[in-house]
Amino acid sequence: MIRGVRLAAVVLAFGLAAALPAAAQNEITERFSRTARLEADGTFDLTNVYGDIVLTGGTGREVTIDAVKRVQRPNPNAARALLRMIDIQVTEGANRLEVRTVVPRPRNFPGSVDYTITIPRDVRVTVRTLAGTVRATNVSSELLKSVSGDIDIVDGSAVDAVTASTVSGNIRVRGFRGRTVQFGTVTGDIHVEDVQADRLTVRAVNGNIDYAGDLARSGRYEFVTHSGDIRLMLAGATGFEVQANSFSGNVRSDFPIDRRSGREGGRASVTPRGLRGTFGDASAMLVLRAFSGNIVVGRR
Amino acid sequence: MNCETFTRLLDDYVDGVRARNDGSDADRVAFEAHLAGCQRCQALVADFSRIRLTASTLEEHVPPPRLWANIAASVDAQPHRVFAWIPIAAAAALAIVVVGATWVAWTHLPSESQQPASVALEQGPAAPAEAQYEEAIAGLERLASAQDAALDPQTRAVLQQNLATIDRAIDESRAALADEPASALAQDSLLDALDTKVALLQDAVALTSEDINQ
Repeated sequence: MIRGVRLAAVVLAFGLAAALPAAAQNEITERFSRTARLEADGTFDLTNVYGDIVLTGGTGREVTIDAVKRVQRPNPNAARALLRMIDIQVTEGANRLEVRTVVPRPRNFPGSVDYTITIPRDVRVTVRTLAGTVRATNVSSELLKSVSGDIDIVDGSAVDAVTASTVSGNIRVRGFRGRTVQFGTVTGDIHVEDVQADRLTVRAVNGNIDYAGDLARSGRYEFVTHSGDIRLMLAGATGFEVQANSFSGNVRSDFPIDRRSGREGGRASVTPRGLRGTFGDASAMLVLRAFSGNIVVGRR
Repeated sequence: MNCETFTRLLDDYVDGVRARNDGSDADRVAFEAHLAGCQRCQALVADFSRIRLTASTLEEHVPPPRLWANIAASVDAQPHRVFAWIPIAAAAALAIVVVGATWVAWTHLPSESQQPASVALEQGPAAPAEAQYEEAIAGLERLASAQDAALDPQTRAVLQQNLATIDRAIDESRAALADEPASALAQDSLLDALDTKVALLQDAVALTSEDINQ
């Protein structure tokens, strides 16, 4: 019975909302605030549907969650009705905090929730959302995932492994420290700057990849794109072994590449579409692969 | 029904045993319905599929005879204890083999310069893996298609556009491979694109579950 009433309300609200499609939009908002506490090594898990997410790490132990629910509809009554259907659920567990946006079916729900969250820097963060930008500053993350939206990371870190991925959006990273770090998008560009990792994997299908920064000794770096360009601007003096290949693009290095075999074997070579060899002590490993794009390994 | 109900079906499902005359087709339908809403089982299917896919690309290695001789000698020496640890050792050994095989497969794929052209031409190293990917993709597409209506139009459009982008990458890689069958780069590009498609379809199936919104 309750489900039936709820469904009728949803249908009525959508009907009202659709009745005046050409009219001016009325934005109705509602604020939500909550605080909680997480100790070191706690976990924070946020699941959103539509809306931007801003996470900022701090030194205290308090988590503050400020959210703005938003609905834009021509009919303010419909907007208010829809707004009431957006539920923000907060679940506290043993050193674990889960925040979840729940909207009713149908899923083309015309509302969103923007989150602004401050969180202890040593708490492990997981974020998943359908649409919206995720911006994490000074945060320790495990997973940042969006279907349609950009991901921005500034001065991030990870205790162990981290994955940041979007389907349709750009990824920008400026400063990150972790062991195994993966960034990926299907359609979008990836810009990575100053990452310290044992293993960094950056993948795009239809997008460019830019990396600027030093290489870690013994680090393994893999950059793969199908139809974009790969551009590495390397700082520091760390030596590397490089395997760079493009099927129909050009490969160029500003570094003098030693054509002797590297530690992973194979014959060294330098051609317009392929580069294999070492520079310096070859302590880092670079694997660069583009199908139709160009590859440049330059100095920063 | 909970996950345990379907544990016995998981291997067959991943192995591609889709339908038999003994009623397992109904089990398969029930399992797929459960799978659409269960992240745990989706993760298991994905993991098992990856292991199966990787294992299919490995060469078969026969243990040296002395290994069996040593094992037999150990069994003879400790007849009462051996049965207790056989299942544990077997599981551990399998785990080591699977993990090792996965690592070896992914870190020792032949590179452009390592791959003799004649070998690539005759064996087509990407072919078995490609077939496995295609099978996984077909299964995931069925799941995603069955649950398609649960996605909002915007998200569905984004997923479809990006699947089309990946399909173009797959087509281009296949065309390149047709032109240059010995190109390890074309093979890698094809497998990269197929892998990305599997991952995106897995995400699409997960999105249609109850996890991200209700």
